[in-house]
Amino acid sequence: MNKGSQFESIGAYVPEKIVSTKELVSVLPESAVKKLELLTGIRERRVCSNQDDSVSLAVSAANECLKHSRYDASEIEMVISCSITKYYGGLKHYFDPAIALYIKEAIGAKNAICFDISNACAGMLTGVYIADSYLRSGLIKNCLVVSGEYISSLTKNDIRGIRTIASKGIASLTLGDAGAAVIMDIPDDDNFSLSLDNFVTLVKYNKLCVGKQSQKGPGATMKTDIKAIHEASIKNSYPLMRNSLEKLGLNITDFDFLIPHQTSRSAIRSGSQYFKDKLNSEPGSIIVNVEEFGNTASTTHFLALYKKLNENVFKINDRIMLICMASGLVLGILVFKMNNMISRYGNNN
Amino acid sequence: MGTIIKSIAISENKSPLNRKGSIKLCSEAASRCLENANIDSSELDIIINSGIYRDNHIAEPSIASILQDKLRSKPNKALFQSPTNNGTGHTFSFDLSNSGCGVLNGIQVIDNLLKLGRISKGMIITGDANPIPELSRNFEFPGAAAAVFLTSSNNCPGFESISHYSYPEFKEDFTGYTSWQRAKQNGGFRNVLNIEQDESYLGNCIQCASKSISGFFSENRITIEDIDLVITSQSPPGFPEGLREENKLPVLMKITENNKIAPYTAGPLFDLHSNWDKIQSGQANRILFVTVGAGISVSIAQYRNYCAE
Repeated sequence: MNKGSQFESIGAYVPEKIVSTKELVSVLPESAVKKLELLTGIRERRVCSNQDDSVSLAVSAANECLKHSRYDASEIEMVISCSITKYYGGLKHYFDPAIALYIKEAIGAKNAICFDISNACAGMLTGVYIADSYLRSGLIKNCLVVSGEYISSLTKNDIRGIRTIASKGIASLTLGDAGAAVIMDIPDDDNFSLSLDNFVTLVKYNKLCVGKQSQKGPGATMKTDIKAIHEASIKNSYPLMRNSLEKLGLNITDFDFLIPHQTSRSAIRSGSQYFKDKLNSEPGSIIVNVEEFGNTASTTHFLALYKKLNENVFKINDRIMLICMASGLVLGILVFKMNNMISRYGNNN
Repeated sequence: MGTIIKSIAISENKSPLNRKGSIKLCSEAASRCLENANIDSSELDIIINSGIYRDNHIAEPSIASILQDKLRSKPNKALFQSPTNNGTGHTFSFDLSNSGCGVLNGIQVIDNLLKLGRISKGMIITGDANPIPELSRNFEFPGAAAAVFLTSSNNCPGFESISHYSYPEFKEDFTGYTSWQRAKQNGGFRNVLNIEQDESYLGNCIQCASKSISGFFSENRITIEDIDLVITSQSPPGFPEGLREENKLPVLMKITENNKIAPYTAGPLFDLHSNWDKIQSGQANRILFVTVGAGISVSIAQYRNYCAE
């Protein structure tokens, strides 16, 4: 059995078209909704044009990941596609075959086993959880975990039904399109192995965010009880985090970076304050990546990591915690130390 | 240590007047599976759903989490109040889809986690039914679901090897997708489910599966003489018979004569269920699972049922 698994390289891709929150809310009647940017910290988001879809976003992210990887696509042994949205050829949502097949073909991973995972915004971290077990078992030597979220159709469909800031469709206005990818393999040094812990589904809360195909327009629709899902996520993440810290023999102050699921700046800040009050301490830095991209569903953690890698923010051995929070209610804690992949992003720290 | 199937159950729409959706069918199959195993759902560490065509095309939360909720028989405990799922006290669930092969992909995920000691009890639930009958074209799968409960055994080999094969040159042979188009009934635009199957799909499935079986035998240094029973996907209709004929495969019992009913993702488990009593009584100890699906994807597993004294 192997030591563990690590992140070998990370990639992401966002479409070129930008839609500002100001522009989005200009069509809405109520003045409280017009304060959406102030409330969420989301200034703008990227939106797919006619050339993009879930598969193309995933392929672009995977190719960006491969650019920074020691592996060639033909050496990739497993491809797990983790998106909620499976649009291919525009807004055609594919059920058969798995879109992981289209992704692996497009990037040239012809020898890879492939399948799709879906677990709401926890998709990529669920894919990492699965890939980690395959790598530890020795069944594979590497794995590409990828997601392409063409999610802006929800904004178009749900904006019509929004009257006030309390409307159940308001969360759809925070969404942005993106692709993200991570290649995982077995580290030479166990110091860099991932620690995945306390992944649970608290089904008592599973009606708080429901997304399905729309019958009012192409694409999907989503209804969210924002306040309730935020409270449930924070209240229940805390004991999971505390338990993970105890098992690892660490304090939150040992962490250089904490990256929660990226929903809105106010949600991340209130969650961070809750953890700080409970733990009486805080990590070095909490990464907030919503200003330019909004909530990009299953890709948020890796989009944030990719951005910070390119900004040369990380040093080797920086300790990072990813907090998984998603509809279901799916929660989980992932801890790792930054390894020498930073040198492949032009960083010699 | 081996991963074994402790119990299995199925559920199906028997009457066209009593059409149950996939979630209802899946939760019925899963409940029966738990009852057969004499365990409560709260003891499951992990639930994986590998069904594809689900009520109203729900995209989130996962269908597995909806099923986890439906199976709850006791009030939720607080976190860390029971040993389930590594001490968290709560199950972890998610969807895994890979056409007709998803069941074996899911079994392999659970097998890994069992062998790593991360879990001790896992369930695969799989089922399909027409999501919205008035908004679908060519959806012919019968409403059907199945569930298997998996755990570890110290003296039974269980699943010994699971392999996957891909034939992407046939990826357009079978597709299922929704698109915004005129719905047949009132002419208005809706998201309509389209199932498109090329006439060469059945023949290509049989050829790809046959080639994969040869590859699997070669990789595992076994021959057909080492196998007592082959459990197969039931879809596309004609696949089990065609595969059997092409490869001279041994079989104990057919599901039905002139079988036109072909459960989709639950098909292999329907086949297993129909042979379960014979397997449990020792008439078949060395079992080959052969699943096929869109892609064309083929997954094959070897399962040994006999236990050391």
